[in-house]
Amino acid sequence: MAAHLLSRRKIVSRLWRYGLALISCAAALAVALPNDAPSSCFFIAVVLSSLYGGRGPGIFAGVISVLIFDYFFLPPAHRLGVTAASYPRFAAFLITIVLVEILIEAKRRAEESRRLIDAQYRVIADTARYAIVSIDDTGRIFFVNPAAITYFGWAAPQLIGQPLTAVIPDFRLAEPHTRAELTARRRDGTEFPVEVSFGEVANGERRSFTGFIRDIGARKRAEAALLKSESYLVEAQKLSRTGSFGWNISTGQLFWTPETFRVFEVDPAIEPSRDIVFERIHPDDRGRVMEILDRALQSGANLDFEHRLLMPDGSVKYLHVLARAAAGEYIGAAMDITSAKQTEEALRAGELNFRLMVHSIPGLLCTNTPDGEVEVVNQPLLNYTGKTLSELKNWPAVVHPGDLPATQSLWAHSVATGNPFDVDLRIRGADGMYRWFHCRGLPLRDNDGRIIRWYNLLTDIEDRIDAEEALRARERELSLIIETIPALVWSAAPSGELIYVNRRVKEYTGTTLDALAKDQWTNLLHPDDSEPTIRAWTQAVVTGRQHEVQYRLRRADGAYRWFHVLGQPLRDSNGRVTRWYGLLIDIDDRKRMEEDLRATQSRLSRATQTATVGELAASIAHEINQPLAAVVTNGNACLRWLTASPPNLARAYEAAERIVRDGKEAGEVVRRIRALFRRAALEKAALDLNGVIAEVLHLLGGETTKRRVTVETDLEAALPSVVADRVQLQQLILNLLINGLDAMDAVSDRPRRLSVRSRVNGDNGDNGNDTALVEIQDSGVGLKDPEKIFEAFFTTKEHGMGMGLTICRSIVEAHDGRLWASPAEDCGTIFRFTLPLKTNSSE
Amino acid sequence: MTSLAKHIVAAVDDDFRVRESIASLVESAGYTSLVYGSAEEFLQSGSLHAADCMITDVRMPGMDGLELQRRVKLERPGLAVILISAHNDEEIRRRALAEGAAGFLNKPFDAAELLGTIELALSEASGN
Repeated sequence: MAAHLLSRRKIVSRLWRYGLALISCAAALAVALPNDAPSSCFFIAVVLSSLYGGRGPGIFAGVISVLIFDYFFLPPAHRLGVTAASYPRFAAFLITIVLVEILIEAKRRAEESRRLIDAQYRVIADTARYAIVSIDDTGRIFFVNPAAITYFGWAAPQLIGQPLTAVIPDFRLAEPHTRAELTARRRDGTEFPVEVSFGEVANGERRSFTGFIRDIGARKRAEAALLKSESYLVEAQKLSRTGSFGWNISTGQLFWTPETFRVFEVDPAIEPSRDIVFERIHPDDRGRVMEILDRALQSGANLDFEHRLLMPDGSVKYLHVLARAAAGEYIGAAMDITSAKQTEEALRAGELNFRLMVHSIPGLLCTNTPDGEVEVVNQPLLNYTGKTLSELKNWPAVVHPGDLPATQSLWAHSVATGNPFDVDLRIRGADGMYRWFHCRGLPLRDNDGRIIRWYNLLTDIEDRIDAEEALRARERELSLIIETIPALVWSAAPSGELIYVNRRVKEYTGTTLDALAKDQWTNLLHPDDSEPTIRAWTQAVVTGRQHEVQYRLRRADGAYRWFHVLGQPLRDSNGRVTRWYGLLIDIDDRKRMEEDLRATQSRLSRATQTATVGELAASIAHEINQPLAAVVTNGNACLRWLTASPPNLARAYEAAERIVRDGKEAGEVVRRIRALFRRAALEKAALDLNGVIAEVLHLLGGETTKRRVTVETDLEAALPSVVADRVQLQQLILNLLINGLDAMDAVSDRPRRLSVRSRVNGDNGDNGNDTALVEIQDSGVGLKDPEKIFEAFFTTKEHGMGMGLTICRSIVEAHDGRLWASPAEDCGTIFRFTLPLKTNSSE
Repeated sequence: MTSLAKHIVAAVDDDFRVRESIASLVESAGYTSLVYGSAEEFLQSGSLHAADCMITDVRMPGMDGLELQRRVKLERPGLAVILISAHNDEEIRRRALAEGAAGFLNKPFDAAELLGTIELALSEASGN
């Protein structure tokens, strides 16, 4: 429709333009005919047609004008055709018309072209984003485009006529072009950077200048930002030890950022190359890197790999290379990850250590969340409880019910406050048995102090608790031993001051520790022993040497008893005495025994042989000294174990037990010997004759051993009791036995044998009653006259007095018995004695 | 002069109470003890060459202490021998010391004296 309208308008316009040409020609004819001046009129008609109608109407008017001119004004008149004479006129007319046509057409075309250019410029100026300003040669503005109005904030009329320096103060014109970056000012006074570019517009005499003014604020900011971001990038690369690189695959050219140079430790002045890169790559990694690069180049794949660098100083760096293939080159980054690698290595090592520790730790380990939930447990804990991790989430199930309330409340407290968790508790093992554990829990916190996790270490303390219990028991036991030991135990400070005594001491002295320490235990010493005892003790305290004395101590009832006293110092690691421990062993019985022996010896020496009693005394001394030696030695050992560092209570305990045992034994020996020598009136009582024989043989044990004599006994098991004085009977048997031993002293060619037999003698009693018969047979030298030996002062011995057998016979006879001797069958002598058996009437 | 290794002290006595007490005492002083009930038992045990010191009772059934000392001295003249006796017998003491005994103690003996004698005997033995 539009096209249709357009073509119609074109047709109308064309009709009008050709009409104009026709009318112009008609008007020219009308004017020319009367005035006979045709040329001028038709020129005007052609000019008008060409000028306003265009080329077509112009030519049309020119052709019509030529035809009219020929028809009306050239002969032959009113007929077309030209006479020869008129040819010049016609030619001149025709040429003029054509020239006019051409000139007018050229002019019209030029104008049309100028109009088009003007319109184009106007469009450019109106739509340009830059300000376009024209100024005259004095610098005053005579044209601005809409962008300039926007730029400066002034309306066009306000700008026109103003000097350009009003908005760009530093603007100066220069020949032939002006180009500069200047500062412009807006109407509101704000300034902005502009790029000014002016050129001269030559227009005859009058000069003018037109130019662009471009706001470069955004560009400037972008430039500044770029500059900044570049420096940021450099800094970031430096900090992250990441260098960038570009690698042109076809040329092999490398581009490195400064950080890349630093990473590779290459002088930035040197052109980077593949050779330099490979020189730096660790020899062990070169082959691998080469392979990776070759493969990547073939496939065009991106690069992502790690390798090591070997630096000139021998150090090793780890590099992570990342690159993207793009348009024939790789663009990427080379990250120095040495410290990360080292950290990773350290972490790995730490992790390994941690694992080793967790699994080799001699305890059970459990981690809990900050809320207290069980998180992870180690294998030993799983093994011990026989539970799985999920079962252990309900941990109270394996805690001893007796320990659970306290454990739960402490744990809740620790979880709530973050305080360390510390508790002893029993945990049930896979075998159903509970063992004691010490649990110590510590929280692991992050940088802000928040608890990340709890670590709980459970240490088996069952053995320790057992050991502690055993030690306590042992201590109780020992203190009981010390309290009940049949010896008096004391302890003193290094200064010698008494600080402990056992119950026996208190009982014996009838006083207290305070009194003993305050009133001086030395007051209880026998006056004769006081001075040497005090001197010995003072010396022991000063020198720190073992203290060993014997003294008499007053008992609560005022009696004095003999004691063997031992004192042992306990020393610290520096050898300083820290305490004294001591024992008082009652040796009063032994002391009295010795006195008794001396008294017996003097008493018997009148009637019997000194040598015999001397030998006997030696035998008795052996009997009593053996257990006494053991008691005293054990006492010393006991003290030494007690004062050892550390004290060996087990050994001390053993020694103390032996003291008790051997002390009793010594007491028994003393009792027997004292009984043997007790001086008393003849006290006849029913006696076990075999028992008396055994007692005496026991006493003589040492003597027979010494003399290498074999003792044989053949005692009637069913021997009834005899009625006799025990002591005299003992003296009788003792004398006969020693007599037998003496008789064998000279024997060396045959066994020395002493036989003791007892029998019931059915037909030897004076009153017809049965008697007991005892035979003592030796393998000695024998007797010449068996009866003479019973006479007083008869002796076969070198030092003898000859009273022994006389006394023996008198003893037997005092008991209504008989004593006689007879030679034995082979050699030696048999002594026999009879004693009446106990009858109902003798009671 | 004493070496770091524990010295071995052998004790021969027919009385077990005395043996036990001596063992406890010498162990409390840091020695290793070996005890025997008779001279024969000791000689047959083979520990004659292991012992650093020997303590023996004088009067025992079978071989007595003096005889044991003589036998021991034939094999090991340098071995320290200490005799202990429950009999205060000057004659035996004189003979024992004349035959090379390192000491002669009467029962009951002083523990410090016994240990001192052992120590002295051992230091003399190691000094030789």
